[in-house]
Amino acid sequence: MFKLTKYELRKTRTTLLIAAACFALLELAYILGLALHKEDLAGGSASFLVLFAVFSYLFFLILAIMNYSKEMNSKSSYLIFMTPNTPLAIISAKMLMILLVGLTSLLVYALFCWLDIRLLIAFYPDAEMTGDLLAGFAKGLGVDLPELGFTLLALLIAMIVTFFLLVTLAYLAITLSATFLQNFRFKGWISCILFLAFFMAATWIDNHLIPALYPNPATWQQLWIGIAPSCLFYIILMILATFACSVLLEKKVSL
Amino acid sequence: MLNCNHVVKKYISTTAVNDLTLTLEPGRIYALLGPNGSGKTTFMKMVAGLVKPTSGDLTWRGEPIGVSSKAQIAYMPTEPYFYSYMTGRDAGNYYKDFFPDFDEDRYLFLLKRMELDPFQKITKMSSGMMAKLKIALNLSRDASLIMLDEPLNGIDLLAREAIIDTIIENFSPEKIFVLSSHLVEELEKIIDHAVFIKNGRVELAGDAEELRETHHKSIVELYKTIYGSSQEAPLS
Repeated sequence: MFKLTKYELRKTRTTLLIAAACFALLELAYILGLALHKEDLAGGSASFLVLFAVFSYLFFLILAIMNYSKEMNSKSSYLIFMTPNTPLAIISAKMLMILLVGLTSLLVYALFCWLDIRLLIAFYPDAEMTGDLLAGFAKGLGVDLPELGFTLLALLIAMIVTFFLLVTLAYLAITLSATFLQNFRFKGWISCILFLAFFMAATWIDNHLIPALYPNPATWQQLWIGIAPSCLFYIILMILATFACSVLLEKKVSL
Repeated sequence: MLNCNHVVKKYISTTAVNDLTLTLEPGRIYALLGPNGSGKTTFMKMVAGLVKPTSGDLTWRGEPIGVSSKAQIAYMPTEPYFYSYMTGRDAGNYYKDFFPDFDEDRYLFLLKRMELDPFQKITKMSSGMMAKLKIALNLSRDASLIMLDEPLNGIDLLAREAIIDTIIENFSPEKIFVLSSHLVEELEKIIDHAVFIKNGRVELAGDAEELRETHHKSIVELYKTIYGSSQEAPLS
């Protein structure tokens, strides 16, 4: 499976390198802005860095879906399906690649966010005072900044799990299109509708059947415990969807 | 041994393979003959595990087509099937990673023999060059069943002879070769068995020499009789 993952990464290498180059340019512009005390350049590139982080993350997930759809409808799928690998290994390798790219980019963005803040403080020591001022102001309003940080982190994790679920359900819909629905005339549309139906069913189950341990969490700990059942449910769904894809490919592949 | 019993493959508006029954035994070179749309490629894809039959049984050495059979079966499709970033060398490395029977030295030797640059991007190759690359890849595997779908398409006359010589060099009593081609005259020189596929089923099959003696026709003439004008007398 790891060899398969290697080739999945290799296929997207060019896109990842272009994204990395764009990110590097924006970072360079930010650092130059700070070093040359050009606040417009530093501020502008910081804003673009935030936008880039958000949109590139979404882009990677959408790209993963598009690449799988493209592969299942092109002859290059022969390369992978002719190899002596089970469909489960093939699908798992794709999922692993998405997970690796997703987690790595998150870590990279988080690291550079921290570094950029340290750089800002290094070039503009007053910025640290501004940070302290904001923290004091927030405390006065009853908002604990570390608690806010943990809360935002919990929401970020929940969002990321939801994004990965979307990708997995999209893979399931695409696999259905290439297998059971292969003989249907409007299989593309049907698989889109199925994808939406799967996601709506998952969110309905999450909202109505998964227990809400803390419907109104008062602390960040309660929030983390509160989102755990939903996240676990979504992770189980992802695993089931992956198995379903492999079973469909095992029984009904038609390339 | 490959066993194919009453295999059917249906699509929306067509039945590509229609109750096909066939057995392929080691130590033979089979020619799979038939016009476009007769079911040859669909049959090969089912054996390669790229397509699941609608019904019927398809087994390799008694086991259903799956991971084990894919390790022993080499299939060369007619179409290009490489990733866009790949060079000849990349394709070789891919095969080396996934097929234990792939011989890299042999592959590089065949590339050299066919005057192909291993570092050239496959997307930049002409159709003839790509055809040679596909053959080099698949003949560098020590597979027990090697299926070449239209191996001579797009290849110049001299290179065709070289390919046919390479096929003969690779042949051994433990292996099965299946070649499909419209260039029946070229294949007639090397095949042991001919399988004529018409409308998704086996119309006629047997030892090439026996077919010639029984019908008093060459394989080419038999091809014309089976697929040619309806004014021709049908084969009994």
